[in-house]
Amino acid sequence: MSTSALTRPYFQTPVTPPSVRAPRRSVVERFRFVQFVFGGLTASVTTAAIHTGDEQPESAAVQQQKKTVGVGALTASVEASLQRIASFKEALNDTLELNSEMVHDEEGDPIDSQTVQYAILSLSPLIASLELPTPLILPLQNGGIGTEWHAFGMNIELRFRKPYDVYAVLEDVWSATPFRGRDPHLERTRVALGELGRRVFESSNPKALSDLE
Amino acid sequence: MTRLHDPEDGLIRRHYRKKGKPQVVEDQLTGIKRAPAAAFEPRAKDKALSVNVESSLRAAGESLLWGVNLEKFYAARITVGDCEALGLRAYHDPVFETPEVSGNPHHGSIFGIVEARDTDPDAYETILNALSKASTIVAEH
Repeated sequence: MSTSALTRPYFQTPVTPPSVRAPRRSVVERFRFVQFVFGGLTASVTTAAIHTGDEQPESAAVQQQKKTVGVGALTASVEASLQRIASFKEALNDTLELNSEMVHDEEGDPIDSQTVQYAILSLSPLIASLELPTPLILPLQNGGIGTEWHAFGMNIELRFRKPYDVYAVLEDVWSATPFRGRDPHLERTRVALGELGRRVFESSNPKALSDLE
Repeated sequence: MTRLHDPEDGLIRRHYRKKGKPQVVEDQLTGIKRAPAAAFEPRAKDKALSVNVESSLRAAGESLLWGVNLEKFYAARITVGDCEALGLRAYHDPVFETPEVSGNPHHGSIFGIVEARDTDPDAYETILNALSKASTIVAEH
């Protein structure tokens, strides 16, 4: 297994997730990308610790305490990411099960495998790295699959009709400019999900935010 | 087949539950619980969106959940007026019993959605958005 992802500099210019550009990747490649996301989280905590070195010299005890806190935060962060991915997978499996029932009843078409792969590869990195609730996942007619988040004042609805054919509804109670249209590379969606993740984080970590201020 | 004109007349659309739970969303702009857009998609083979007509159900003394197997489905309600506002046409379109098909005297058809799906995908998505937004969930108790 390559460790290059873990040693990447934190400040490296971020690139568009390869999953969005190339939907049909192998499982191995997909895990490599998830690993990259986790690598970023590792570096983030470390960088935060390094910053303190520019200020006052610290005692060994304080440095050790910070290191312990950093490792604890990393562990919690990785566990939360894995939990979100696990919940997403469970919701997806429930959807595929429902789709089978609909197909059996002649009430729907089978979900297209390439479309669901595209949806998974597009959303997995976002779900791993952002504090998002588990979406509602629905089979669509004609082989598509839909994912929806309705929380914290935001309606985010994605309809994956085919690979690169994604219709998005992005509404925010605090914004007068909703978006309803095609978002094939999830550029607008990524911004909206980032905002939702920020709101989730703020609601669950009020102390962390006040400390930052 | 009779065109429906009363804008307040309800149209009942059933949609699958998942793991026994209705797939209902709480709209964050309105705070109202509604059905997702997927509930209003016609099947590939359909020529119109199938619903039950509220005025027909009420005239027969039936509940809005008539014919809805609540173990598998929940029901959402839109109105004829919602359809008219989108340029769709709603009809009371009873299905007569045959050896192959079970009858439904309260069946209705909404025309215009399938045409949009086949000719104007963006208009189709807009219609789904609007029907989803306009929908309410039929109470089960």
